[in-house]
Amino acid sequence: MPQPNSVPLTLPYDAVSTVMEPADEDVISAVLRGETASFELLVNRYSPRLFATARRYARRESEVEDIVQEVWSKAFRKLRTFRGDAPFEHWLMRMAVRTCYDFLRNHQRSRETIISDLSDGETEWLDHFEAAPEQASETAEAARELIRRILDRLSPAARLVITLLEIEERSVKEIAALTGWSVPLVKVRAFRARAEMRRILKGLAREKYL
Amino acid sequence: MKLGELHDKLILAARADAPDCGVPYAFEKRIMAGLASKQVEDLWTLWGAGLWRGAFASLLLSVGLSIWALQANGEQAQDLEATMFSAAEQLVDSWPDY
Repeated sequence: MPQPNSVPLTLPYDAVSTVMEPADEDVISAVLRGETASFELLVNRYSPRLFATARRYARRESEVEDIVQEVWSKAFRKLRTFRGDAPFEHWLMRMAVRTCYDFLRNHQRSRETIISDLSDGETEWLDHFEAAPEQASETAEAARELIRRILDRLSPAARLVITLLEIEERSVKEIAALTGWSVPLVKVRAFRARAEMRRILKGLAREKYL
Repeated sequence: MKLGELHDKLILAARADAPDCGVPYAFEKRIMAGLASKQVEDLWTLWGAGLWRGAFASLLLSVGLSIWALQANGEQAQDLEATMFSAAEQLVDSWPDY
């Protein structure tokens, strides 16, 4: 008599297919053969990753959804161009990063935010940092809000580079592959991005203490 | 204020603030519905684009033939006209006389 929790030696085909998720390549082939409904598997599999990426660049949830929707729409349209020499996830993430960059370029108005309008918490955190830099907690909500505001002030290219290079700690080569920029261009943009960020921080310090 | 340290501290704050990877309820259904409607839309767009291409090619052909007909001597123009309308003439000729 088999135990209730024991795994049968042979599973019927349907049971196997529900346990083992089909590989991306198989799903893509099915979609390209006209089984459009299979695309939903990819959407389910990679949407969490796309949402996390989009939330790095957009604050409002409606904007985040628009970005992810746009990525899936592009992925579906261009699925035939996926050659399969790299994982589907890499191909999709390239599309996501480029869509986020387009979003940043189309929403540059947010850069007009006045950095001097610091909240009490942010001012307090900066005071704390000024008094004892090593003791100011980087996990404090005020620090998070402050860096979000500073990132909002950066130009689209600078924000993208700072996010990928410094926050997500990706290599220059990886960034080049994700953005479609050449390696020297990534280096130049990284240099300019750091300078831009330093300028904003300098402005912040001047406004606060002068 | 030590700007380098502030920069590093704020970058650490951003790293600690990992974005949420939550997906809204039934998001995949919305995507699939959007793709289905886009596919229908695409078919109409393809059909429209085909019609426009056809119209443009016909226009080019007629302009080209008109220019040729104007420049060519009368005999050639008459030959072309005869060729073009031969089918219509045959049709007229085949009508029964009542």
